[in-house]
Amino acid sequence: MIKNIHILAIIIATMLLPCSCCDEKDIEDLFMEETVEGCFDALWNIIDRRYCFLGYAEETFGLNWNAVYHKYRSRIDNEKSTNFDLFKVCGEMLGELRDGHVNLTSPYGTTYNWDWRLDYPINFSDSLQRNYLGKRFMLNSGIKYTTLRDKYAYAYLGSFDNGFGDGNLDALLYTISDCKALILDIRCNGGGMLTAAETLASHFTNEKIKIGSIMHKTGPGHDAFSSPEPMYLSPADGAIWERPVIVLTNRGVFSAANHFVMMMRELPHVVIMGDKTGGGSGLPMSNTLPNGWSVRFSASPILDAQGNHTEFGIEPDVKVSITSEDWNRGVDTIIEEALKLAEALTKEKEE
Amino acid sequence: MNRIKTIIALLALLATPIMSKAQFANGDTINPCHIKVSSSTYGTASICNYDTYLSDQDYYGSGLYYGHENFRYARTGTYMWKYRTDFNALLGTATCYDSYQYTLMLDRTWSGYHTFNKSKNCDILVGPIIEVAGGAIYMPTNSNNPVSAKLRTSLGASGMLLLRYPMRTKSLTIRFQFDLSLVGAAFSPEYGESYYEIFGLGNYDNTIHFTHLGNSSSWKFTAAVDIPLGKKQKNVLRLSLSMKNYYSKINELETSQWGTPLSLGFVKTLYKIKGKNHLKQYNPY
Repeated sequence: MIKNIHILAIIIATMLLPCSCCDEKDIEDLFMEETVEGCFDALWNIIDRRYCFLGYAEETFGLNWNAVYHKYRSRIDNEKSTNFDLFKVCGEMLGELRDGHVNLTSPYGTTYNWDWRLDYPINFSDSLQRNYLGKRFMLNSGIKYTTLRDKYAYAYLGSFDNGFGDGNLDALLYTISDCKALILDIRCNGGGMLTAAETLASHFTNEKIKIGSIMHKTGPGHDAFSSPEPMYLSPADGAIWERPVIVLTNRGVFSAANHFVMMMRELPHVVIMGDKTGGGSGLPMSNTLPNGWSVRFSASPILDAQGNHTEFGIEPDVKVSITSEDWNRGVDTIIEEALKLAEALTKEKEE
Repeated sequence: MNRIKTIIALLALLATPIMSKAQFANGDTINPCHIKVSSSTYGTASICNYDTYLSDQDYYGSGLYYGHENFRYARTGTYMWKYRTDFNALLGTATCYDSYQYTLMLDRTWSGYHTFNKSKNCDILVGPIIEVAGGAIYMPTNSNNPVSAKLRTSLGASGMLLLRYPMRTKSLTIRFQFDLSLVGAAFSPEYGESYYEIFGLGNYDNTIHFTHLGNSSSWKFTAAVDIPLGKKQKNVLRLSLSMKNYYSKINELETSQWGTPLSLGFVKTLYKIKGKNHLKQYNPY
């Protein structure tokens, strides 16, 4: 009987041991600060250690991240501030980075800094675009396309959110194979998948070319970066378009779409036309605050082929804006200029 | 008559090797190395993940656990030792407020033991252990860092204490086991490196690391009790509680994974038959 009690005691003691060691509250006390002040500090620290453009932002527009802490920290108080106050203050603080890839997501919504786009003319209207696309346009893999003046293809792609099948792009290029030039309109394309942008770009080159490089942070220091890893664009297995391409851009071209422009401008038969792109060259990553809110931030800068940042946009080869006269007449100045350029490039090629 | 006697004697002589083979196979001399104790246990586990590649916060949750263990004698020359293989799988979810993660961890170990017989009912087993573990933590709300892949291998030490309490025909066995990894190798991306850069662009630099107790620790403590059931005590029930932890700090990234699986299953004793010919010999058809 005594022996059995011993056995039982050993079993019960053994089972209680791990439970007591992994007590949730103990670990929580050690690692989590769920107060509004704790969450604010956690957010500031995540950006301080992981955001990749702090050094570049200091160079470009004099951002002092320590000063930003003091400016906003004074507005947060454990006794007086609510979670909504925290959300507003954190959103304003992140706005100082002027980066569309930096967002805070909470039950109240998601914070955005739209200055990179809204401080500039839009240079795009779907009402004007309708006058060119008409009612009989084709749609393939999210690309709307038609033929203008019987010999120039016009294609519009509003997002890189979905991937392309090579077969779809082959079919698209086949249907416009009679056209002399392609006007590829990506205005207001806010990005999506980098790989989708690369797949589309791969149908415009017949040789492997270097299009840029990527770096990543190797530690919490603002200047702790790896050496740049080259990025290449290889030709697609299917159809390759080698005739002139005019890519139309505006400030709404961001992130993966900015990356697409960065790749396309390295190709000799491509002209970038319109307004400067919106930028967003940092590959974003995410993290979490102690209260479960999610923060997204740029983590790995992508440099162009010359080693320059494109975080604040890429200048077009031909700068064109929609004039108010054209706007009132229902004419898209940028498309009109692209058609003129397409004609000139076609003539040049024929000669 | 003499002819008949001669024929019977010749047949008996021919039959001798067959009879002796059959006797050996039917096993007065069972080879202990062919006896395998195999167990499968199923259960639940509480988990706690802390992986700074994904998030700076702790995620608590629970999951389903499966464990399979084989234990047998092995012989090297005249030296008898014990050989153990173990496989564990843990699939679970963990949360931090509205944020959540999915975890899948697979773990395989091979260990060999020298036995110190303290008494008839108490054994202490000590030996080396090799571990290969892999899996992933998936956080669907993250942008370009939704997954933290885990892959590591290590060499360590394992020890166990076996206590037997004789019952009717078998013994109730209590086992305490501790496994500790000492050196090995582990995969880890760099601090802010995306999987796009590693696997998409092929930049594998600095992703495989030598691990030691200074930058990584992995241990597992198990308490298990094997209880013979029924009047004839043919079935043996195993109740097992483990506590496992993996911690690493590599490339400025910290990972800590806790799991405390509580599992239940049955233990079987099997006789291992090697080779097709042996199987044919035992085939009743």
